[in-house]
Parts: sequence; structure tokens; C-alpha cells
Amino acid sequence: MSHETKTPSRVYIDVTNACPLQCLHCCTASGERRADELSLVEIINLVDQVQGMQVKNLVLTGGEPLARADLPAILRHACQQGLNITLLTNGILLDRSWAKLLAELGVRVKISLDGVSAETHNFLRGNGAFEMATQALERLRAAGAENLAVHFTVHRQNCREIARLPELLSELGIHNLVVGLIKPSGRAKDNPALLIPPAMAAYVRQKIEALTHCEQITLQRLSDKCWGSDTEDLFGCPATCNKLGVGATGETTTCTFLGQEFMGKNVREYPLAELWQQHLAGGKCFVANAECAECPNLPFSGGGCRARALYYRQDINAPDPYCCASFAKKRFLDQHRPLLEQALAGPELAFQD
Amino acid sequence: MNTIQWLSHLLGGKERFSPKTGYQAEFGKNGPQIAVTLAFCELLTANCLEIRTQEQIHLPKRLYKLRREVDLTLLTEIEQIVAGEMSNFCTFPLLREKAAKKLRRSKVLTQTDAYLAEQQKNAEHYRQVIADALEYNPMVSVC
Ligand SMILES: C[S@@+](CC[C@H](N)C(=O)[O-])C[C@H]1O[C@@H](n2cnc3c(N)ncnc32)[C@H](O)[C@@H]1O
Ligand code: SF4
Ligand code: SF4
Repeated sequence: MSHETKTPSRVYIDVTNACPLQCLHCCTASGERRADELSLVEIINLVDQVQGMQVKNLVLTGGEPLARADLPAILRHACQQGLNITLLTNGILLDRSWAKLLAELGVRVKISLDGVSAETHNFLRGNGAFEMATQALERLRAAGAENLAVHFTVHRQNCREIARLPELLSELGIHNLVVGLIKPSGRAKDNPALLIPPAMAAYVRQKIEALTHCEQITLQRLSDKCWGSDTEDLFGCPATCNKLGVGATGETTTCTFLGQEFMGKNVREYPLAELWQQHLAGGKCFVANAECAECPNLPFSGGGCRARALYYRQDINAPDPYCCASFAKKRFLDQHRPLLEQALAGPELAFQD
Repeated sequence: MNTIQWLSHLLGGKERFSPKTGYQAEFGKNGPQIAVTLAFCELLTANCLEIRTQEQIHLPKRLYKLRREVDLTLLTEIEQIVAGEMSNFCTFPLLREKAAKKLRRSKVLTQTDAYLAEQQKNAEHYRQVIADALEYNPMVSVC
């Protein structure tokens, strides 16, 4: 497939920056509505452009999307266009009438839950947030909404709860779990104690991967197939290849986590398709620096997360230290493969050696 | 998080409750050893341990040590107990004995809201951890 024919795998629209919460990790540092947010007419027009670009998946997020009173009109219009809609919400404002509407429209709703207990979730999101988020899920289920998921952002204070997520999800009657790691972005940069140290990235990812063995849940990871150099079968940072975001005031970005500095031109000035073509023509948002270019794993990894490279190395073209940690783990495992193979037969014997 | 809950969820154990005693930990006799082995496998396959090999006769060939960069606060309680015994290079059997003794004495095993960890499932679980490590694909990781 040539770049010209490629469309983003999904488009994100931040429908507002307003939010009743002030989460410690918030990548968009949301709270206040911005004076010049996109109007209903502008968002409807944007949705039409998304559909015109033959993009199938549209994610409505924010800020808190339900803080926008005209969201029902946006949702209805997007559904009429035949787009697969995902609504990403904290659930705080999700009352029975919202639940009814979302169920009727068949929108996929992802509710953020960042702890298996009120204590952990509320530590990040504020008092009462856990109770309201779980009630929102109950209301959605009661209204007959079928396409529901919990979105869990792993940070340093909740990573010991990963193994308990299946229990929480079965209590809530939810099957789909989306797990992402906290990114050094927005308010998370002001709260670095929340970040997972790169040396622990492989450990934390292992705990997440273990969830794939739980039959009662379906785990979705926030990684993506990437348009790699010569094969489509590579995984990498979606910002470098196939996703597109539009901020609450219309600026575009390939990933919100890259922050304001990497916001591109505004949909108020250019058609979305043109902005996407400009992004593709501009090459990549990642041109491996010398260190990354020498890495034998670069062709497979695509360099990892650009937001982490920016934060930890102050260079968008540097290695992502989590990516390096994953490959260090791979090298370690390869080096000790015979030991592990023996251990598979019986750890007692292998480790006694 | 309560370690026995953690173990139980990893291992598929069942909750045991009696009106007299409340929730109780009912590890079998070998429970601590199995728990330590599991924690050890987790740390090993997550690249948290260094391995040194010694070739001398009558000496253990393989010694393990916790890497300096490991942040103990992220580990589960049993992993922390195991890690605590690993500041110097040591063999796994020695480590297991010491850590299991600590585990038996620790409140981890005496908490009332505890779960039962079935031994057989324990054994299956550390096999799963190792099997996953052998199949590890660093590309398919969360962003
Ligand atoms: C920005 S919020 C907007 C939607 C809604 N207000 C909510 O909280 O779900 C979208 C998702 O991004 C996650 N998120 C926020 N800041 C993050 C960060 N620094 N790193 C990773 N995920 C983050 C949130 O936990 C939430 O699941
Ligand atoms: S993460 Fe979501 S709920 Fe929290 S402050 Fe940001 S936009 Fe609001
Ligand atoms: S920059 Fe990081 S967070 Fe953004 S898409 Fe790439 S991997 Fe994901």
C-alpha cells in the first residue's frame, strides 16, 4: 500500500477540555473549558471529513466528553455516518438518560477505572470517582449497552493491582479490559512519582501479559500494527504511522501524549485529509537518531513510544527506554533459554543445578 | 494488595470462609516453598535477576542476585520477601529455604481475609510463567 492511500486506523477528537475531575496523571491537563473550543457545527463537519477519508473508527474523548451538552447530537450524527464510535469517559456524569442513549446508539463505551478499589482510583481521580464510575457501568448494563470496556491506566501506585483486575471486572459484569501504561505527559510530568521507572517496565508488562490467561476477560493492549519498513506485520508507536488526533480547539496531533509542542495545524484552516497527507509527506515523526539507528531491533520495534523518548531523553528521535528494557529482557531470556527449558520440565531441578 | 489474594488470582485458588475463623489462608505444608518458587520465576523471567555461573566442582553452578535497578516497591509482598533475600548472589534452594521461613513467619500467611492456593495450580502457574517467557515477543507490548 502506498502512503497516499493510507488512512489513519482511527481518529480521536477531544470534544472539550472541560472536566469535573482534575486527575493527577491527566495527559491533557483537563479541567477548564477552553474559550475557543470547536463548535457543534465544526465537529459535525469534522465527523463528515473522517467518514469521507474512509476512516472506520472514531474515538470521542476529552477532557470529559459528557461535559459537552451537545454530545448527543455529535453521537447521533457520527452513528448515522456508519462510523464505529468509541466514547472514552470517566463516567462521573453518566446518568440513566446518558446510559439509555448510549445503549440505543450502540456506541462502544470505555470507562476509565484506574484502581481495583476506591482508594487507589480516587487517589488519582478524587473522592467519589470510583463509586460514580462503577455506577455508570451498572447503569449502562441496566440500559442494555453491550459494547462496554474498562480502561485501566497502569501507574506506579496501582501496578500491584493488575492481577486483581479480572476479579473487579467479573464483579462489574464487564468482559473487555483495555490496559495502557501511564505516559509522561500533561499533569503526569508534574507527578513523576506516578511514572513506572524504565528498569521496571519489563516486570510491569509481564504482569499485564499474564492477564491473557484469564478466560473471563479479553485483554486489549494499546499497541498497534504499524506500517513498518517492508512488512505490515510490525508493532510500533501508532503516532509514527497510523493514528490522528484533534484537540479541543482544533489542532491536530498524531498523539496527545506528545504534548502541545507537537500539535500540528488546525482543522479550522485545513481539511483533515490534507493535514493527514501533510503528515505522511513530511515523512515520519520519528527519524531514528544514531543510537536508535544502530539497534538491531529497530526494524522490528519502530523505536517504541516517542512520548517516552521525549521525556526521558529530551529527543523525539531517541530510544524509548521501555523499548530498550523489553529487548534487554529478550536478550536475557535468549541467553538463558536452556535453563528456562529445563525449568519448564521442573523448576526444582533446573534451579538447583 | 493482599498477597494471598494476589496468589489466588494468579493461581485460580478459591476463597475459604468459615463463620468461626473468617477468611483464612490454608496453604498446604509446601505452600510457602511453592509461593517462593513462583515469585522467583516471575522475577527471573522479568529480567530482574542477574545470573552468575560457577564451574567449580562441589559448588553450585548457578547463582542468582537481584539487579540493583529493581524497585522493590513495585513488587508483590511475596516477591519482596524473595527479593529481600537476594542482595548477594545465592543459589535457588538456599534462597527458597530462607524466604519460605520468612514467609511462614510473616503476616502474609496469617491475614484473615485470605485465600486458599491450591498446590497443583501453583505448580501449573510457574510453568505458565516460564512458558510465556520462552514465547516472549517484545513487540506486542502495551504502549
Ligand atoms: C484524557 S482521558 C479523557 C476521557 C475521560 N475524561 C477519562 O478520563 O476517561 C482518556 C484516557 O487517557 C488516560 N490518561 C490520562 N492521562 C494519561 C497519561 N498521562 N498516561 C496514560 N494515560 C492517560 C485516562 O486515564 C483515560 O483513560
Ligand atoms: S483523565 Fe479524564 S477525567 Fe481525569 S482530568 Fe483528564 S480528562 Fe478529566
Ligand atoms: S508516542 Fe507513545 S503513547 Fe503516543 S502513540 Fe506512540 S507509543 Fe503510544
